[in-house]
Amino acid sequence: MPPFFQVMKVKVKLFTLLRLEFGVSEVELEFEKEPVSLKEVLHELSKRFGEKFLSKLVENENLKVGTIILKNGKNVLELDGINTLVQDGDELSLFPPGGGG
Amino acid sequence: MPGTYAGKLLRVNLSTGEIKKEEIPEELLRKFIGGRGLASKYLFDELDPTVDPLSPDNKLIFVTGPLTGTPAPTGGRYMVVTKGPLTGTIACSNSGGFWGAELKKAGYDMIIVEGKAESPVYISIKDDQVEIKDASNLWGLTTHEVTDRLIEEVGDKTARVACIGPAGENLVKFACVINDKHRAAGRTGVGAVMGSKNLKAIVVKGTGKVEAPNPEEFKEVIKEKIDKIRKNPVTGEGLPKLGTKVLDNIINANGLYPTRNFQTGVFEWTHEVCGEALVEKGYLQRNKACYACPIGCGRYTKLPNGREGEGPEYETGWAFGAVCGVKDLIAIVEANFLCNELGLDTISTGVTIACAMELYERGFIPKEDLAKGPELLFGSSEAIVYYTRAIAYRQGFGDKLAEGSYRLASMYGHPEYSMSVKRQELPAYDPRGAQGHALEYATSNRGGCHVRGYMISPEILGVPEKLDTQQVEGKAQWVKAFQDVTAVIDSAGVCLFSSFALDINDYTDLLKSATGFDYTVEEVLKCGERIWNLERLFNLKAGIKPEEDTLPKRFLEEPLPEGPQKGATVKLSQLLPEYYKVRGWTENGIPTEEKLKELSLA
Repeated sequence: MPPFFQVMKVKVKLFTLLRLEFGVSEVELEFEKEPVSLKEVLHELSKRFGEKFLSKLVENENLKVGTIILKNGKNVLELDGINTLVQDGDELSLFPPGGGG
Repeated sequence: MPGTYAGKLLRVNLSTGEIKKEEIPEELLRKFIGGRGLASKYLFDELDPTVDPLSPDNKLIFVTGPLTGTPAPTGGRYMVVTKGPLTGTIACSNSGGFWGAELKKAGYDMIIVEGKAESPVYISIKDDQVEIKDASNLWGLTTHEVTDRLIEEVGDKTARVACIGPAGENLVKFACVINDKHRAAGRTGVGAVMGSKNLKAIVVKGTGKVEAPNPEEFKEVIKEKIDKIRKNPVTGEGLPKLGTKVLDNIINANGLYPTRNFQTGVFEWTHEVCGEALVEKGYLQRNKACYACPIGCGRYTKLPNGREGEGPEYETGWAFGAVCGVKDLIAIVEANFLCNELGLDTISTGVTIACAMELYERGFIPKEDLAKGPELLFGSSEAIVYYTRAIAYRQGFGDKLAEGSYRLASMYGHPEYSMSVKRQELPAYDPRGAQGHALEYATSNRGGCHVRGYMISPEILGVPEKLDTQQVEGKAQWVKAFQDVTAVIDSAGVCLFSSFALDINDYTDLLKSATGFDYTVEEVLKCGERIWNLERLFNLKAGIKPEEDTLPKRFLEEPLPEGPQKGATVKLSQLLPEYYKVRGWTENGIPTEEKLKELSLA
């Protein structure tokens, strides 16, 4: 680790099926590098909650159709998808596919 | 008669007592599919569109589609089509449950109710036995009570009841028709039309079979489509597990969750009232599925005080929650139960109360007008429950609320605080947060409505693909396509939610196999476009001007004040001309002769 490096923190909010199945509504993750990709964040979460967590959101290494991930309120599909870069202080909101009317 | 159609309609004249059975021409079935399309065609041909909606001259049509009553996934839908008292437009309200399938099994594609009975009646249908019966002793009963009483009266627990509650009897402009106790043909005030005819209920028992020309092939097609629905993450997991209330946090986090009469798009108490909270607080008991539905998005809920019933759906939870500023989930569910029992549209009820709250807080409604009812303050759980009941019985200030937000706000000189389009209250998506959805609101043929072309799907949910919420280019094409496909779905007799997993090719497969018509995708889409244009023609003849294809001033002029879409307004002046062009209408919004000829409507 380079000298003076501060740990980067990302707040992740879990909603709908994630909140109900994993019983957690908010997680704070720490990374020793900055930035990281959304993909890395999801894999980190998967380490914590198991493969099932990832399968709710991701299919064939890409976001499932209907998965909504917001970075500071903006849908990552309007940014760089699963490769969107995440920086210190960013807030992610994770929603598995859902719908209604 | 082709395939799964009954091929027959029932015409009941309540003024004369005459009951007739008529053949439906095959050509009409092919061109208008059934359901919403077929009933719109009959209404257009038979009704003077300028008729007073609550007069005996209006007609009230209950209609099924070719897939209703079949094992096709979600094939339990029926529609109520009439001229609506809330909007003055053509009204079409869609419901699930089991009533529609039962009507088809009794041997009818639709019922056309005409005239007005001298005193309260109900219609009893048992296959080909049809009778108009006295309902004097049922008048005044709630939808639950009348359903139980009629099932007892016909002596068959498997009979199905569609009825009105006190709200329909009292001609509340947004009264609904309730079937199977908990399912609503909710919007556009179709329950008031039923009440105006002194018709309390229709009880149906059908023992017939609904069969496709090639049952084995139909079975295979259905199997394939059910499989698609089960494998789709929205219809296979999201909707079954959380119901439509999966949306609360999604829409709030995207900044278009209308709060306090659409003054903002973020509700700070969403965590208290969302679908997750309904589960975590232990109110949710189980899922409920309609006829032939593999999704099962319905919720069955029980409150700590023992009250139980179906709901709340996303729209209802919001209509008594965020838009009224209320964070009390118990009061929200109670107001939902009351709407079902009294026969009120939950969206219009909640949004009308929200409008009154804004008018009251701004000082436009004087306290003495509330007739000793609770103060209309945002956040008041007492107010939502009290006024829901008062509306249904037109008691005190409820009598004014019963006219809907547009007429209410106009009475007090401020129609701009009515969050409505063509006098119907808008549902749970702030149009500033999704430009395509805004265009859908402005152009819906039945007034403010989200289920005539649900652009939230691509703009927010990313299904079938993600569109930029604020982008204007290309949105008109999307809206037209969604509106036309939705007209097909409503006419086929299946649920719109199936479209999260199925596309127009799937619907064409199902329709072909069910009816035996050699439909192509192009022909089916043309049917959808034809239906849309026919509804438009009805509205124009009814005196609804294209200038009404607009939105409340708030959305055009006041930017969203906070959240991820802060600063957004609806760019309607760019969206609408493009839409008229894509529709093949004049720049003033009138379908051209050429377009009508192309659709065989001229």
